[in-house]
Amino acid sequence: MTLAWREAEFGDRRALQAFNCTDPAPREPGRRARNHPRPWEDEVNRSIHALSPPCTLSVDTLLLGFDEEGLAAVALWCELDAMPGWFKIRLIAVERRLRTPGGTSIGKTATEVLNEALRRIKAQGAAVVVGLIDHRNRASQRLCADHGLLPDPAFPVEDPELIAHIARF
Amino acid sequence: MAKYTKHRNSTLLPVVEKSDLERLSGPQMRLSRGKTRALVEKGIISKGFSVPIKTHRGVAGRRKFHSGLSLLALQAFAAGDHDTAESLGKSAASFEVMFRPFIERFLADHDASELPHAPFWNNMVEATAGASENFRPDFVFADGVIAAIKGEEAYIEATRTKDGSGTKLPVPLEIVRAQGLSEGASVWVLRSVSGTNVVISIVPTVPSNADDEGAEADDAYLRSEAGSRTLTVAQIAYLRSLDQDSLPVVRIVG
Repeated sequence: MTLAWREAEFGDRRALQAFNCTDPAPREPGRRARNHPRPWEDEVNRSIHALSPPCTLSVDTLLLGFDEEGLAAVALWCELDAMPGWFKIRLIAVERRLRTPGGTSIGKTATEVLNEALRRIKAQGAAVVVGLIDHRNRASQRLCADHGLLPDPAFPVEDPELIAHIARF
Repeated sequence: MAKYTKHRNSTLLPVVEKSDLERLSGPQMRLSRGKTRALVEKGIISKGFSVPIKTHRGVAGRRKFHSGLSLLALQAFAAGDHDTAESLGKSAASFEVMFRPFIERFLADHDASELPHAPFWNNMVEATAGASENFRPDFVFADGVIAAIKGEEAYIEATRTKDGSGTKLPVPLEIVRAQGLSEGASVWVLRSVSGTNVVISIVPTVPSNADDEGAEADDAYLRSEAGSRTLTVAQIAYLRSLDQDSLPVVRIVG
């Protein structure tokens, strides 16, 4: 399946609010939902709902992929301030209806969205790209590794849950 | 919770003051006292309810409020859609029966400007959205935000109600100013066609909540170390120290 790609516009806000890249936290009737089993997915999911395109800063790119059912994938990246040519992938997400069962392996859509993001990042003049991934998020780590973005354990992180993945073009 | 019409990002203000109703009803209606009374008798405008204004010296007059649905009913009436106007008028009357006691109790201790902080505010928004959801989508042309004001025009970035497509509408600044609106305000753009004439009007709205099923919006991740658009000083220093040629190479698959 090939998605139709374009940068987000104002009219996409509603679709972003309805986008879900993860299942809701388990909940028993009449009780509050328990903590999300994959908090790194839940955080990204909530942040996508808070996105309000169009991007006001020119350094940001918010890319959306659509299939016949609507919004299917989201990617957000930026060029790092004061480091021309160095880009940071801020998030990549695939709608849960297109994710593989269990969410631990790399789906075709995830490969497609990272491919498209990297193509566009390269076209924007990137020399180097970096992403910070939760160490429990095996699927994203494998996805990045498959695209040449390898973990750099020497990269100094403040949040010990994160691992930097870096590559050059 | 009531469903929102498919492509609406916002819903009507649940409560408007009588003076706002007169001001927002537009030039077509030019509501006089007699005309208002006639429209109340026809059930187009809801009866509304008045609340005493309390000051530190005691009661100083009363303020009259109506359901925001009355505003939409007026617009429908002005456009010649009397059936829709009547059904909206009925919904407005039911709304007032339901929420009047809560509003009166709240306004006994608070100013009207604090209504959006009332504990029952979301219920009023949902009830208003529910009552207006079956409204003809071709009448509510688009739903958007006043994105910019340039010269004599205001630009509304909007989503068309009919198909959800995005559009940027220039409207005369006068109709924005007449409603006391400014950049960033949520509005509905109403459009009615009469013969070869098209009447465009806007009504102020409140942004609706995110989809029920979805998690609440929270941009904490976008400000976090992983999701922000910045790196720490130490991280930048580390990246600058790297020999770029020694880095692995991006592989675009397929």
